[in-house]
Amino acid sequence: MNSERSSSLVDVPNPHSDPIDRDPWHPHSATIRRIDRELDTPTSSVFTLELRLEPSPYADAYCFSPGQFNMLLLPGSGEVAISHSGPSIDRTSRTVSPGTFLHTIRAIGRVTNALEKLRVGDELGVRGPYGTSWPMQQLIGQDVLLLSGGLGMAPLRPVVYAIESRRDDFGRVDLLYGSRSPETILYASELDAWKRAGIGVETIVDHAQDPLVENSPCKPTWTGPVGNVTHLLNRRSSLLDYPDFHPERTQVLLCGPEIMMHRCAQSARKLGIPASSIWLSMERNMQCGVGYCGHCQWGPLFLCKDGPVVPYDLAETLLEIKDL
Amino acid sequence: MEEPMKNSCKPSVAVVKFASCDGCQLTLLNCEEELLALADRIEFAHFAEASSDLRPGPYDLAIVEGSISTPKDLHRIVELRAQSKKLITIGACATAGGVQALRNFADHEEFKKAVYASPEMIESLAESSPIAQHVQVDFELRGCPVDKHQLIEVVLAMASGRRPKTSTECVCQPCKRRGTVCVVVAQKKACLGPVTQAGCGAICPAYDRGCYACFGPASQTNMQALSEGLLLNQMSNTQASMYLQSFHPASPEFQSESRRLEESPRRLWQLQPPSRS
Amino acid sequence: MTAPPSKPPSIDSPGMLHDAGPPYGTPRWIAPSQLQSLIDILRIENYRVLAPTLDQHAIVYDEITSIGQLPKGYSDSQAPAVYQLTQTPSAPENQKLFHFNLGPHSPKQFLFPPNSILPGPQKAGPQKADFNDADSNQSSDSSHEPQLVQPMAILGLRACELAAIAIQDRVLMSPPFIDSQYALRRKSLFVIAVQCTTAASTCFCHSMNTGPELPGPELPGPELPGPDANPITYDLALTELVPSNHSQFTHGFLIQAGSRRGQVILDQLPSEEPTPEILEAKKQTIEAVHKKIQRAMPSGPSNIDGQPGDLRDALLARLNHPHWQNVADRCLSCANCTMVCPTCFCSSVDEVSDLLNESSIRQRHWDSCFNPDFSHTSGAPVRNTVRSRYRQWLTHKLATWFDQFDSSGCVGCGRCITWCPVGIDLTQEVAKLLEPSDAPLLNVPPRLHHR
Repeated sequence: MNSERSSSLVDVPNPHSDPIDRDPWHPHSATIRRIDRELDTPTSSVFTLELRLEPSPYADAYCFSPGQFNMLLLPGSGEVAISHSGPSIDRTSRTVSPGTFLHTIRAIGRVTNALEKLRVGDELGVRGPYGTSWPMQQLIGQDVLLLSGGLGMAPLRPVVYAIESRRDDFGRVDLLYGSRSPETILYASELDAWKRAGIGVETIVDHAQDPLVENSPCKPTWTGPVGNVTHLLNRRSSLLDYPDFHPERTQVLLCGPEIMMHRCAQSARKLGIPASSIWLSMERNMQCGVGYCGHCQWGPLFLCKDGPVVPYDLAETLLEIKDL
Repeated sequence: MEEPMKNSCKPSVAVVKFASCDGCQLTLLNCEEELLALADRIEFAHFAEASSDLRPGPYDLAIVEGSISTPKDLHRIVELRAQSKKLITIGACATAGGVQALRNFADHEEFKKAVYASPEMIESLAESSPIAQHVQVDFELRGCPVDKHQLIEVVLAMASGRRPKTSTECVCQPCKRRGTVCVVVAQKKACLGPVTQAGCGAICPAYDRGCYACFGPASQTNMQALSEGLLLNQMSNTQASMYLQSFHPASPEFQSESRRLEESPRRLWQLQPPSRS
Repeated sequence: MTAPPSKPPSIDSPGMLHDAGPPYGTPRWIAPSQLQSLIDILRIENYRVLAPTLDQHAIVYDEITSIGQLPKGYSDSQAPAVYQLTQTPSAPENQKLFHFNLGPHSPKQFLFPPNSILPGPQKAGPQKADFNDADSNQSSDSSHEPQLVQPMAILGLRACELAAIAIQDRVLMSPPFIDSQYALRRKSLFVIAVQCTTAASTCFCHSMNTGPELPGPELPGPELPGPDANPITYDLALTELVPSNHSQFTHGFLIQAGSRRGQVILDQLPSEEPTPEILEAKKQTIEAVHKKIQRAMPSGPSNIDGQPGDLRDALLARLNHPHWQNVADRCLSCANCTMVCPTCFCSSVDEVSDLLNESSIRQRHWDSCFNPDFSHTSGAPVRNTVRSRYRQWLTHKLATWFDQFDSSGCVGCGRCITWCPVGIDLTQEVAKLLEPSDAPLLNVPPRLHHR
């Protein structure tokens, strides 16, 4: 990434400025303060942990930018890369609690299944924050299109929160959110609040009824659109329906399955949005977080430090190559 | 009253043998110091090799050694499966049919006549087959015999309901990590390490022998490259075919490659092999 | 351990001594027996001395106490998938202690060991995890303090191996993150380099600009660019010379310091000023090695001016070349090339807990991009074919390494050629990949500048 681009991204205090944290293997203790069950369908188990770092110089300096991730360490089980899904906001005072943050996790692998069994008060290890972040500075004064698929909503939620807190700094803001079925829409209870804050929210599902759930007890009650996020995006081509769509001043933030991001990015380009205004959050096997272990390479990039957020002008050629 | 309560909380485990040499069960007994700690976590309800106190099912976990080789075995395995919440298979016999699967490629009746004085007394199936061919298996642990550390990991993982951590790499990686110089390159020995699942600790090459693939095929194998680029530099087609059949004759990868070698008298690989000075 | 200084202590770089006297780096001449004194001095200084030894039908680095353990009179013959130890038949070559080429092991074995334990909490389970002392007590925290290791002195490193160390330094010791385990070993390393006086058929250091000649005070090594660059350096360098027919000298070593601490040790050895004849013999020996190197890494196709093209760009334009499948048909994906490569750094960390799940350690081990699970993402490997994995290895080493670390990842040591069990030769594969094909050339993204 060129320095011009990254300078606006890393303007935050860096907990790694402390010499001891230059050793990336050093975990810090955090306590689970709260657990929210997000999804509880037979095929999808998703929960959010609210973590607070134990008081330390590291915790004091800890500050993340939307889009970054942490490595969560559960001794005996292992480590897993989980993106930030938001700062923790005190529900009564509406202020951000320092050293406290949220991680939304799908129980799917050895470590995440073990994380699911934790209870409030349990401790785990945290390393981070790592990686690039969404270009928050560049969104100011621009129209913003947030496109997410499935659990890809989690890394975009801190962006929604940031926009919500200073809504007037941004132009038109829309969230187009695709999910497998109505039951798997993440943060469904928050969507209305986002709408009230002036964010356009459109949801779409692949199936009105989850095909993976046998004998689903509930009859389909979904009245919204069925299809994928690209459909919602492509509607912008109609000037009649979207007279105030201005591709030249729109920033697109994409997070979801790779194929969905690739298609959406191609559609966004066709709509006239410049490649440098399209951003993807890429996923690979991130293990060390700092480019030592080699697992997350994607062409020339170490996605743990050159990503996860990658501009489309850089990603475009790489996405075209199979099995890269 | 406290003792039985404590016991009843521990998952009950049955160790059951089919056609096999008992070597894998012995691995469990050989755990010695770990066995006490293991007994703290699980309760051996049925382990004939260790205790004559054989309790009936149901069991939380069945550990199965050996292959299905007789009609009686067929009934026993179905019964055991019905009585067990989880069932894992250990060793080459249980996971791939074992050495005795060599008979799968020969005339079963001829074999019986050659070996037994009264072949009509022998009730056996024409093929020795892995357990998973007959019942659902929750985890297969490879090896001939299985590795002690892997076995403990799998038993503990199954007992606590998590996925076992076992390696999926090929033998070459642990071999090089332990500092062994490649026996193929430095000693011109045949070795199946590049196509064999790791887990043994790469013992054989460390003692100047090629790998015999007792842990079975790796998750992805390039069998033809192994034969054409490596084995056939050291041995004939027939020897290579037999080498591939030694521990996992019924594994599809090894089976099809050994057949191919037998059926093709000459080397097939015409891709410019490296010049050897 | 006290809080680490903000700037890591740097390794002495070649230069002049502050006080009066000859500049260090002046070549001296020592008798072979003085190598024993050198080993003794280093051992008194608490170094673990590692040097080439005969083991497992090969020459590998191991701890030595006596020059008798060096492979005197031995050499090797190497070709794709062939390594054969040989005994040098005739005098004076059979007197030589270093008349052989690279073995399968590289300094990576010691600086970045195949298996190591990472710092971190030692207890398992959520409630039991105790990270706190690591946070609150930086000065006496035992769980974070890198394990103490005895300082190592490696005798016998070649020019390409020095280059490989410089490359791994850049991967594991670039700010802001420092791998404490690697840094600890690296910074206490005492390097006694040895000038190659022969070459294997698999060597191609010349075309990678890393050898065969050792860098010296009068010949600065190919210093990697960048603000935090560690010059490719050594503490002492040896050139072993044997007399030819009419020579006036006998078997001995030209020795030269590349650092102040090297000079301090050299000053303790009885030495002579080398005669012009000896200096001339060194020159001729190096010229002979140059001539012996037959293999070369191709450069990219020539550009319009006839200048050799950039190999990075050429390879990245050919990611869809049909030859990748040709290699994949022969490749076992066994990872031997990455294990013997002195720069490959990929690793994995395993959580290993004891039986009662009371304590756990984080164990790091060498991993490889040839392992299908290495790229496991969202339930499946990204690179699920041998073709994609070989392509990843080769293009990382020769192309994208430039984007990541401003240098090639290959030093031309040829180990991946010798130790590939089916003899795949990357220089030949690159040549094939540069041949025209039906696959259209891809647009190549400009080089990323990380530094």
